[in-house]
Amino acid sequence: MPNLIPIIGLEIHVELKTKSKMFCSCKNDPDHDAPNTNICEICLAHPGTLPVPNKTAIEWTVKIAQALGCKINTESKFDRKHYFYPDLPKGYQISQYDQPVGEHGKIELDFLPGKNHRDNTTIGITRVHLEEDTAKLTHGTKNETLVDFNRAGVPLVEIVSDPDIESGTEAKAYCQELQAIFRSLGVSDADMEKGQMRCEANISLQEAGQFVIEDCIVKPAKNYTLNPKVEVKNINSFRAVEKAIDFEIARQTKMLENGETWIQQTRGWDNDKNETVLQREKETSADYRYFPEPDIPPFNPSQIAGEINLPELPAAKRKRFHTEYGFSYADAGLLSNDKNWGDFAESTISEMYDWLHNLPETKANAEDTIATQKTQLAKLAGGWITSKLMGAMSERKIDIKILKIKPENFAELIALIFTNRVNSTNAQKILIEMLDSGVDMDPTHIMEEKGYGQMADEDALGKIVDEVIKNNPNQVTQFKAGKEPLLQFLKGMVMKATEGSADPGVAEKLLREKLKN
Amino acid sequence: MKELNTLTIKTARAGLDKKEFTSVELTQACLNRIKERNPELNAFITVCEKEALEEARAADKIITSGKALALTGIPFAVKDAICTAGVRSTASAKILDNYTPPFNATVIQKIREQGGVLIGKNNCDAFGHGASNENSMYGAVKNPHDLTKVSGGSSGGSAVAVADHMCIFAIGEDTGGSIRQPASFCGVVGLRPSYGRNSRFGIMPMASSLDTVGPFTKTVEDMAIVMDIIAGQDSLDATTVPDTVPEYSKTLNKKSKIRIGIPKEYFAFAELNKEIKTVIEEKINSLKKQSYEIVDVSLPYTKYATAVYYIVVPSEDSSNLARMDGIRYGARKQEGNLFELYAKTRDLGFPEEVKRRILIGTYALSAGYYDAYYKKAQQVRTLIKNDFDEVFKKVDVLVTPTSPFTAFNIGEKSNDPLAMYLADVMLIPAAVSGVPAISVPGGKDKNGLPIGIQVIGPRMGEEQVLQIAKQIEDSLQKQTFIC
Repeated sequence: MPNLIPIIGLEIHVELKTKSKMFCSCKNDPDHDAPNTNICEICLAHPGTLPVPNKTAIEWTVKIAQALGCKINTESKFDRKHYFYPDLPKGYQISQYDQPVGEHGKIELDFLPGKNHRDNTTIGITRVHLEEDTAKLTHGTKNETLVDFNRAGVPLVEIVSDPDIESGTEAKAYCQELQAIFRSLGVSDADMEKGQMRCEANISLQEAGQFVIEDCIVKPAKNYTLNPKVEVKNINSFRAVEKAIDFEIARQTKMLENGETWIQQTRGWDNDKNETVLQREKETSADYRYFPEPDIPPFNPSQIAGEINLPELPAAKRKRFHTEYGFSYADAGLLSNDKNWGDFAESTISEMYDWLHNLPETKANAEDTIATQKTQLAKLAGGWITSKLMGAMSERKIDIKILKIKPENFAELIALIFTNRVNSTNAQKILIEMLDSGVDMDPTHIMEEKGYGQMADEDALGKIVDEVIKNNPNQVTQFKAGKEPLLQFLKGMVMKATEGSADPGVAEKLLREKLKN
Repeated sequence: MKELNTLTIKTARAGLDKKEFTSVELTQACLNRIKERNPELNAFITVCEKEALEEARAADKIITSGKALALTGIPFAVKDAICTAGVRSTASAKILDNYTPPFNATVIQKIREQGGVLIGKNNCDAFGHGASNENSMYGAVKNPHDLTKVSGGSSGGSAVAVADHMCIFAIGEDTGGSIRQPASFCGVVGLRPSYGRNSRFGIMPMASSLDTVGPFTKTVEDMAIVMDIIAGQDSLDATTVPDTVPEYSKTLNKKSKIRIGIPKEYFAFAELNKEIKTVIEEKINSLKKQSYEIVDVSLPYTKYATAVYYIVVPSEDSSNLARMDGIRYGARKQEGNLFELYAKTRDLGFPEEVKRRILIGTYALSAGYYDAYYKKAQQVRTLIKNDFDEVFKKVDVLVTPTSPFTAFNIGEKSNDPLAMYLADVMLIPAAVSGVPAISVPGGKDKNGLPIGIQVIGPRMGEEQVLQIAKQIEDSLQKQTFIC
């Protein structure tokens, strides 16, 4: 069997979180209100009503196109796309056909070694255009269908990729990168589970060397017939993106290996069964009867682009977090994907540096410490943010947007750990208290109040060591007889007696001294 | 004293303000006329008797308090394809038989804000499709000058309502000639404004890139008064232009130096009635005598205008009418599956002409045909526009007949769609070019049927169009209306 290459293109739809809808002044809030409350005669397509485009939605689409490195067109227009369905009040969707806002962009993806069949790749962006969302249909049990028009007319941006994606991992990374970009631009929360971001995948497998991709189209080599493509819908999470595509690659590979073929078709991802299910085989291609929307004059996105200052994009931030602060690639990736986390991490680092300049243990050599131990500091802070804090928050369903702990206090906790004032076990307890208090608490206060600080005071700790020796005569005898590992047991007993706050180094030193006698 | 319903906006305003009569009396006079004549003429689908009288009473209080606005207490009628808040608006099609809009079209809102009293909704060709008002699902409208003749269309009911003094003025809609042609057939003034001058919001669309909304009035002066109120940019219509609106009623009698072009193509149509030609030529001579410069000009692409129109209009039409699906409002035939619901609702709700245009338009927009039809038609449309751009470098207005013939017999062309389409031959070029044009009464033929004269101006050139129309009107012996 010749080597088969998966050829995957994605169509991403993302709802913009503008205040009002795309063509009327209704509130744009498709998910949170009772059905059919954010509606008016315009989004219900009453006769004689006209669409007036939302300026912000156009600006944001230009922003997205810019962030994806697209060529921004100097002339763009809306077109009508016709089909009859109850979710489409006008009988046509206002979309963009041959003059989208932007074209020919790209996204670069990097993978940690071993995570993908190639470590980096560039995914071309065919086009970025603006359109309106449809109404939401709910099919009832009595064969009735209910229509909720709250979503009808919500601004929707469509991003079509070139067929450059070759694996489920790449597809997922591409979607995650888009989400990070939308969030950094502040144009959408792009939550796939909420339907704010939707993904449709076109997947085919072709023999290596038997095709070329020209102008975003897969073309066969001489005497080669392309294998038909499959469109997969109903993909509602990043995990589903990866799983649906991997499943489809495996399914098609097996069929081709068995010499089977199929008709171009649409399949749906079934999240419960973990498989794609046939929805329909391709009939004749739909005729949407596109024509330029006469109710809206053409516009110039390139002019709008001239007035936009893009914020730092996730890819640049990732790179900066690694080089400037010394975060690992993995932590830099996690932290730069979300603007709020990125800001939190940056503030934590700078506050932590401040603490190092102020704490008595470190202030003399703070600059030196920072310069020589940048990576260790970032590793410590990065680990505490990405695993401990994020983990505890996720268990408690706390979002970064409502997190009460400010970077200053969080950085103080990291500094306490770095200077060995508190051990890891107790630092975690402090963190949980900070989190559960519901306010922005000072970790030093908690440490002192609860006695979580490391006991390094030899007099105080000496008394506890004496107790431990007294209460464990057998182990003491065996240690003295040469069973060295029992020292660890005795140290553990000291730690237990101090509820973990003993400085392990001091405890060991005292034990050795006292057991010599 | 004259019957109150025969007054113009100007004379009614004066009488109301001087307390010579009340708005209730004025409104009642119109309602009486409707009761007397509408059973025969069929100009109204809905008459708002109770509401109009209530509004008239409120208007009288305002007038008494000295706070009357331009239209306070003056009854007007509206084509039924224009949305009026709380008043049924059917577009003369059964699919909207039960439809009451929750909102006013912008132009109606502006008239209401100036105190206009809505007296009723006028019959028209369904969704504006027609040139004779025979394509209404509520029956044909008859010409008040001869009941065997058509009123013209599509805004026939509105023209008749004004000509027969059932109201003081009316608002209609002109896509290809739907204001000017019935105005000419019924002997009233009808203006198609420049595209983008008046808001289309709330006007049930036919062809979005051509539709305009304009008034029917008894005099050119009234036309200027209504335009002063309704013209201007609208935040609800992205195709309205920000250009400043002149005060038409103030500049109406200004005798500007206006050069008048006579486009030869309009006089070369084989169908052009000799009597009409003679009347126009007399008017041109009379303008010449008033020392207006008359220039012979040519608009060579005129002959393609009708062909262009009947591609562009059905295409946009088929799209605009897609929303009439029986799902959210209007009549619904609940039968079978979703497709059958759509098919049956639309089959019963639309008349033949609407179906014909949907079919033509759907075909013209289909994949593989779009370039050959819609796109090509838009390219030719640009050439026709260029014709006007060129000619308006040489002259300020054009004077032509409004229609090659006077009102024809009911039934005469209704089985021949093509002959009907050609009825708008002199009206369509201005429409596809987006320039303003007015039809003003120019006299009558030997059978007593009105002859209309069309004055066409450059885009946003309503001012000079109204000025010349006023001159033509003045040159006639004081216009005599029937009744």
